[in-house]
Amino acid sequence: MLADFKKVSGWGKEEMKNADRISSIVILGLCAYFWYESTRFTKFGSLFPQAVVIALSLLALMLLIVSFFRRREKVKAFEQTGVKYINIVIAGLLIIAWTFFIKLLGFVVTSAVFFSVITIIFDSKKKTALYLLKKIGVVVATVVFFYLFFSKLLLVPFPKGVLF
Amino acid sequence: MNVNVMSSFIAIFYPMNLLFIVLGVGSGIMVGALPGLTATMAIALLVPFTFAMAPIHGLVLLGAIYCGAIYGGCFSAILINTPGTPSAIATTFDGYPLAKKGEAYKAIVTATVSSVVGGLIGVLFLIFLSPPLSRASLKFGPPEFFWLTTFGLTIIATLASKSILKGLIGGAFGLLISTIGIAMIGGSVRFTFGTVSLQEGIGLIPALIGFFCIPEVLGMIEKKERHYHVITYRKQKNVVLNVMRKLLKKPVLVIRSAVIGTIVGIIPGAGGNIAGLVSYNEAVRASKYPQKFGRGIVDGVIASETSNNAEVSGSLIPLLTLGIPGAPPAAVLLGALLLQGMRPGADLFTVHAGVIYTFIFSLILANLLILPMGIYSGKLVSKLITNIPVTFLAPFVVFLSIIGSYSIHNNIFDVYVMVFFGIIGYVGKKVGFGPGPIVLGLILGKICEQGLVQSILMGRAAGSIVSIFFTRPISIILIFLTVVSACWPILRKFLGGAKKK
Repeated sequence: MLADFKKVSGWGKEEMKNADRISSIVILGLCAYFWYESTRFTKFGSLFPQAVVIALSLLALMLLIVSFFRRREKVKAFEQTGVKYINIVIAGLLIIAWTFFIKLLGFVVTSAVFFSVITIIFDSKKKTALYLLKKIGVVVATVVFFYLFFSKLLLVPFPKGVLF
Repeated sequence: MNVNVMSSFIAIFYPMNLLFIVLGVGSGIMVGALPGLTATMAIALLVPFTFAMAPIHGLVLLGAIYCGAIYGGCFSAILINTPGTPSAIATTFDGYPLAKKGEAYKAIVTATVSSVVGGLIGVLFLIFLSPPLSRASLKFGPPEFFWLTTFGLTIIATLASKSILKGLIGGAFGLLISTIGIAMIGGSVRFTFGTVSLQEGIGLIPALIGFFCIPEVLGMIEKKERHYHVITYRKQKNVVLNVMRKLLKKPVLVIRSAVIGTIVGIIPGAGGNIAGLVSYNEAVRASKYPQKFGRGIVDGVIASETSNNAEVSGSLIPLLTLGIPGAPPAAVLLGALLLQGMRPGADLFTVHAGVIYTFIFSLILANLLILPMGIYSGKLVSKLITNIPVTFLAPFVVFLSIIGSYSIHNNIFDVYVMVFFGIIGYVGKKVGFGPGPIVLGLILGKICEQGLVQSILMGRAAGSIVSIFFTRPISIILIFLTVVSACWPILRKFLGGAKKK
């Protein structure tokens, strides 16, 4: 599975050594877009962003040039041993989904669900019924405590959504 | 003594302030002791909680957490050879070998007493340096602020990142993000991608939470299988007194480490990790028995811990006087100050003098409280390190991050901003762009732009833009410092080469 992920994501060993090149190209692309946008601003509105874009482009260009002269070990990225990047992708997606479902389902329900899911799926312990009950219980208690603290004490109105 | 200052000192003993100091130090120690949770993350998560509090309660709490967390890092450094916070990196060098020799309690007591002494010396510097510096800031006009931020950025890039080039890119990227929203002068709506919520600009607190918390959460998930072997220890009689006696016999080591910590703290962007490492290095160089370092010697623990706790107050000096944070946790504290409607500079020591002096004095009490709380909470903290599963801690931090970023404006868009920058922060960290320079670029961006554009307008009115930028005395000093700081890496290489020859 990890091998598949590396193939799909492009973060295989060979690609990793190109991290500096890829990041400098991404930054240069970003600079091009920001420069294009800044041409529509007023004179004083565009002054600082354009100066920063020029500086950032030059620095990214330097990084790109330097990356061609660097020895391989110095441009290693995403290469820590024993790290399961598929877990990171899953965690990242779960966090994104968590924030998007808040408005839809409501803060309490979404938080309880995603908090429990992350707690359980990344735990390597055997998932018995008692284990699940304990974990979900702790998570629900935590979520409810903080919800009450914020909504009743600090009067922060959390999004309610379809549920709660 | 000024009546205002005196009443501020008395105010730290008000029950609510005392309660927040105790709570702050206690929770700070726990956060600091847990590997993966940093002082910056703790403060970033708690800033929104302080929004509804009285300014003084909020600041006192955050200050105490800052002190407690930087100290708390020594527990995991000594007991499991993993620094709880980056500031405790140098503590592992001798703390862990001491623990392996069966002297864990002695190492913890040494770290505790050193942290208290270092912290107190740092606060003294803060008390005596801040008021004159804040008065000097009254002489700062737009050109001076422009050069000050430029100086800040060059130094951040050279100190806060492994690669100077990447540090500079991070800083410039932060500056670019700071331009999002309506321009202060000219009124252009910039880089909003058609999103109304972006017209106000990128919210500082959501961005800070994103950059400092989400990468740590994903980092925890990376290491979820890790099990810590905690070295057990027993309390021994007379250790506290013996350590105090030992410290008194080494005044040069203690004072040098505290001064190094304070100076590194004052330098924008350089955090406690740099303070600890520089101080440790100097301790080795000055020692009569350098070969003993790294094998378990209390001098190593004293150097690191005195320095990193002195750095806490040091980092607040440029923050409170000029609005330039000395370290990442101080950058987050800036967010707290702004959230409470307080702008750093002379105003802070005149209009808000009562609050600010109470905050500064509360740091004295927070540092003193570290002594009993640190010594007596050791067993509890070591249990905490082993018993709280990372699989619970990671989603818990995400949960608090969501609450924190949402509760400031009650706006879900801030949560999206937090997650977006969190993911950018994680990927950036993996390819060598630390969050420190980006965040400081984001903070300094607005001051820098305002300084640049206003200076140009002033120059136009005066008939010469060049003279506005390059002839004012404070500007000349700042330009000199900027050039030295920018050329320092090249200079260092050159000097290193000459030495080798």
